[in-house]
Amino acid sequence: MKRILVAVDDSETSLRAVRLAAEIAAASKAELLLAHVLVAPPADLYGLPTPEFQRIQQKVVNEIVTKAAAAAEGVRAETRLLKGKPAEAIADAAVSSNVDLVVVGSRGRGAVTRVLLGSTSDRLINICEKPVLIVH
Amino acid sequence: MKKVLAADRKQFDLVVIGRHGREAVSSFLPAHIADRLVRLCRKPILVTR
Repeated sequence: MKRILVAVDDSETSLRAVRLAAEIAAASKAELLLAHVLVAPPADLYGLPTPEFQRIQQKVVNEIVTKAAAAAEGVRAETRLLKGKPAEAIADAAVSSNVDLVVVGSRGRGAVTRVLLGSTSDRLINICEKPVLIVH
Repeated sequence: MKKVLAADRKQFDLVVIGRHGREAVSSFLPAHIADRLVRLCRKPILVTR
């Protein structure tokens, strides 16, 4: 195993996913790819992202990436920011980066929320060509 | 399904399951079973095609 992609967001399960991925990476001398999918920005009148949104998003992304990198301490890791629908963006990145494993946290939504909003991990196991490890 | 979910109560660190892709392989778990396992199992679960 050479490369492991971990999808990171601001959840606690995401950090657990990074820790488990780091454990696997350390045992198999693999490197981690910490991937965060950017939320689509609300547009202003001209269809451009508002400066306020960009400022907040930058701050949130920095925090997510810093926490994830800290959780992966001791393992070689690089960060990648993705755009698009989360599951699709992660599945595409897994193929284009030629990773051997994708690790994601499951947010554990309730049945109703899951039906209404869907779940990134549910969608990912349906579309990802690479093995997917779900961490609760 | 019950046997796999019993992993929650035992000392397993990981559950590994095969899942149907678009090209179904009969020996693998049907997609809906894999989906349910992912939702119900509290252990880390590795889904392969």
